[in-house]
Amino acid sequence: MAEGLGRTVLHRSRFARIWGLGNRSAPVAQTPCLISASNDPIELENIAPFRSSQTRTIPAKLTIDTPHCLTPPDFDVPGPIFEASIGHVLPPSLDEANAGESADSGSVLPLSWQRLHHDPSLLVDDLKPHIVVLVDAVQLAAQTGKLVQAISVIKNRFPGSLLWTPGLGGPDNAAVLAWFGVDIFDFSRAGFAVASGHLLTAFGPRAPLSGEECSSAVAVDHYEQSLRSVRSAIATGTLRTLAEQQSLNSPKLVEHMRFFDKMMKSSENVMRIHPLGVNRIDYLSTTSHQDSSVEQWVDFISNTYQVPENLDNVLVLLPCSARKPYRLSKSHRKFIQALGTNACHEVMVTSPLGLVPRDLEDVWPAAFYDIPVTGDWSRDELHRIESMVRNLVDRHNYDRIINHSGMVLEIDGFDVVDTRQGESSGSRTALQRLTEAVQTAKEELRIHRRKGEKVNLDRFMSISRYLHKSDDWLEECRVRGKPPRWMIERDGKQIALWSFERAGFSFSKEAVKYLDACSALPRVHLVDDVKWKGDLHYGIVKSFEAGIRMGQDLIVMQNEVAIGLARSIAPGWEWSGTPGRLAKMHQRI
Amino acid sequence: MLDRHSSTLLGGDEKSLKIHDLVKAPANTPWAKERQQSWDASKPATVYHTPEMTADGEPCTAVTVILRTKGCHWWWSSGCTFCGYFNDTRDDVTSDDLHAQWNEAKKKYNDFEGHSMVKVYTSGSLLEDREIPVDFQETVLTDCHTLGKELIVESRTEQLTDEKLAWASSLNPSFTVAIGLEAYDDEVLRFHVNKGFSVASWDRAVERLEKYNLRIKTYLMFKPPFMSEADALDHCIKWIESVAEQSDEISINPMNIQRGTVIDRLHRHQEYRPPWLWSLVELIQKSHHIVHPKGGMNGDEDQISRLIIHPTAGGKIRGSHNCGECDPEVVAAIERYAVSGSLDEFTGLDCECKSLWRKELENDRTIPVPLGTSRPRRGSIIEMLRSS
Repeated sequence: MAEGLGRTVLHRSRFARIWGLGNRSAPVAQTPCLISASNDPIELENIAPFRSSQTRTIPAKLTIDTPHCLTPPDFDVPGPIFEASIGHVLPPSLDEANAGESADSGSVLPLSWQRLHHDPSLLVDDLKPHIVVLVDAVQLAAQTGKLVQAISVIKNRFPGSLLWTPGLGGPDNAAVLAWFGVDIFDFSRAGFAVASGHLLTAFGPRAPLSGEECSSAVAVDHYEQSLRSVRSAIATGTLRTLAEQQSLNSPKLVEHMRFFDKMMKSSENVMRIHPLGVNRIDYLSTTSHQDSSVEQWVDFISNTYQVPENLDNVLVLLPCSARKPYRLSKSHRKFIQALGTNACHEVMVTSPLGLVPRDLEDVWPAAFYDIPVTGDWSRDELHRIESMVRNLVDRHNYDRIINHSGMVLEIDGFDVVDTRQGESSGSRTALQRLTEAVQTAKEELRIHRRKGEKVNLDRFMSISRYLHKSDDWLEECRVRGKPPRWMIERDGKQIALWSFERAGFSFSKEAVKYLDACSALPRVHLVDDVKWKGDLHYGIVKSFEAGIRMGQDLIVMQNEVAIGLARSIAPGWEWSGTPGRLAKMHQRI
Repeated sequence: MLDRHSSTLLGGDEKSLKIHDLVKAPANTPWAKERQQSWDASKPATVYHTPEMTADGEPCTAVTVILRTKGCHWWWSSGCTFCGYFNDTRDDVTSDDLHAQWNEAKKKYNDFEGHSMVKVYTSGSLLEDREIPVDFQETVLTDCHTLGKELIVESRTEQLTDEKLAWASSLNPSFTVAIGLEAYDDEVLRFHVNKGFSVASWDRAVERLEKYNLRIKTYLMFKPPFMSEADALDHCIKWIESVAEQSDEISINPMNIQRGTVIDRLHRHQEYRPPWLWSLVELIQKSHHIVHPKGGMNGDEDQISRLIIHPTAGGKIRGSHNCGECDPEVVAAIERYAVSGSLDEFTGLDCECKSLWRKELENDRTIPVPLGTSRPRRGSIIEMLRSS
């Protein structure tokens, strides 16, 4: 029997991935993909890279195979073929009981809610299935929050596995399930729809129109189109938007999305920290405001963010702009001109991020988000912004607040200066009031303009605190060069370059010791005797620190010594078992 | 996300329960206790009569007497997953109470005059001494023999010892023992039903019943919990095949939802749908040749056993049901077959929902969904097709 399933991640978006199946240099198929079963239409068999069958015993034995040659290293015979007993499965609502007989554990791993609760063997380190099958997904989906909880646990425990939720997937929910991390889809629901004289489409089930064919072939076409859209969205980083759109196909999908958002709120290890091939993030619906990228930003600004040193005298609240970073917009050029000084702390009021300080306007996601602009604020948006402003003020020592954002704000202990007074932010009189308010503050509070290099250093230190949780490595540094490519030097040697496109620092070899000394980056420890030549992959990584985010720089350690830097391709949840590259070598000492 | 301090991926360190713990739990709830105490121990639970067929295949009527008892001794220590009889019992029923109930039943039906058959059901085993006082067992056996009525009693297998059957058959030499086998499959008996006895135990009991020339009726459960529709259908056909030779009658009990049972809990969580009526029709059509190898009807010479299905709560959400449109017609055909044994009862029976049922079976058979793909509620087709 052929063993092993050759696969490599081609694109990733949090838990969603496009796996290339087979030889990684020339994959023969990609996920999210279909799996065919006996009696499925021939059109499906022709495009499905996997096939499933099962015995009619109790419990049943499952076989998954493929018509393709997916088994490394030669990829010259059809395979692999995986088999496993499904075991006895109790329904999810009986989770306090243990049926006592688990399914098989091997290359294909049948899981159920009950097994996740009661089978300690799932924690055995060397259990590395190629395919995980959540056999009670249909029942889990009917219950509050359980489906996404099960999937999330499975993804974190078995990051290198493909996931199939039999009986649940369809063209109408493929984007949502892929967003959660499902890779394999069967035809059962689509076939059920055809049997009832309906079509299951990416937009939900519907009766065929007059003259429209309702056949298995048409159903397969709808399915394949839906999966193509999902693959495209994963590749372009827009899957969240597609999943949101598709979730409106049924109340249950909306529920799943909300529970998923809630669960992901504090999960750093699935997030990106740099754009890395993605040029924007859309927050187009109110649902998108619950995305973990928003939640984590709001949490950081509210609870962790520190205003650059000595800048917390005068807080100037400004409106956001469509162009990012804001300072490049026409409106902000006017604001900056009207302010006439860099001695104030400029903070942009926006949605859904709430507040974006000027010193963080270049980072992900603040410099890359897109929102619909209506000029109206919802109650939730107002509440979020007010709360963030209060937190910011409470944690700092501002003497004055100048509000040019247009939002009505009342902060205890402050006589907030409203420079808009109902006018547009760019109106001559409003800008004049802004100038006067700042001028008055300057005189009364005796604040002084910062030098250009100090502004840059303050900005980079703030960015470093956001990206790397420390700015210690920037001590005694100087910032040289011209925008946008600023160079950071220490003792006359360049240790980093600000990369505008990457929205982050590009570190030199010289930086490693400083970054290591202040633990500015997560550490990855290599196996002691391995010679590090290029990419980092699971086989040479001995251990890694928690919280690795996609695109993040990492300190590569070996025998407790920092030997270089790598740049993560995969977020932290994947590091405990995803085959293929996890990070690229960036600097080797 | 993973809690590495826990011994499992999602559970805590608390001890897991066994299935029988779940089965027992509802019986100890205040509402169940209150209900049990509300029964009048001197009155039978119910007495009614139905059309039947005698052992010789003659149409007749049967009086069914369901007695209020202490219930089943297996329930006292564990219990079957689907059993809701605890709802109808009380634990202080005496021999005097049982005699009073029996006398009331006899009085109501004038010593069963005009009825050839009497079925005495006790929510347990009539021949189990811990459940039913021996003097009352004797009364039932003797009375029916004296009155010349065919008697049917229910029993688990372990009570059917040589000693007990010798004694019972000395009082009534020709009664029928109905055994709730549920499934001729030890895996199903243990995991799905929690029956507490094995197929071998049934084999031995049947051997002894044959020795004493007693008639054997075998109950099989259609769609026990934790099973898909297709598994229920495909395996039940095999079980019929396995028990037909030894059984004078095979009674298929399609699962229905009884209050307070594990099945009830699953049903409320949308994890269990009672069987489709189409499955029962298919079961009969595919099993008919087993009980009538030459394609005959009930009473014909080729009859090996009689196959009976009475879908309790048929057509209702908590019983076997189809789409709601065709249910009365299909239930009636199944009921007619129980009497006639003729496949002609199903001629011309069809509905749009049949294609959905067929597709569901196909899905259950081809993808790894041990709990099935049934949508648990009726509704508009578009609602049914929407993603869960």
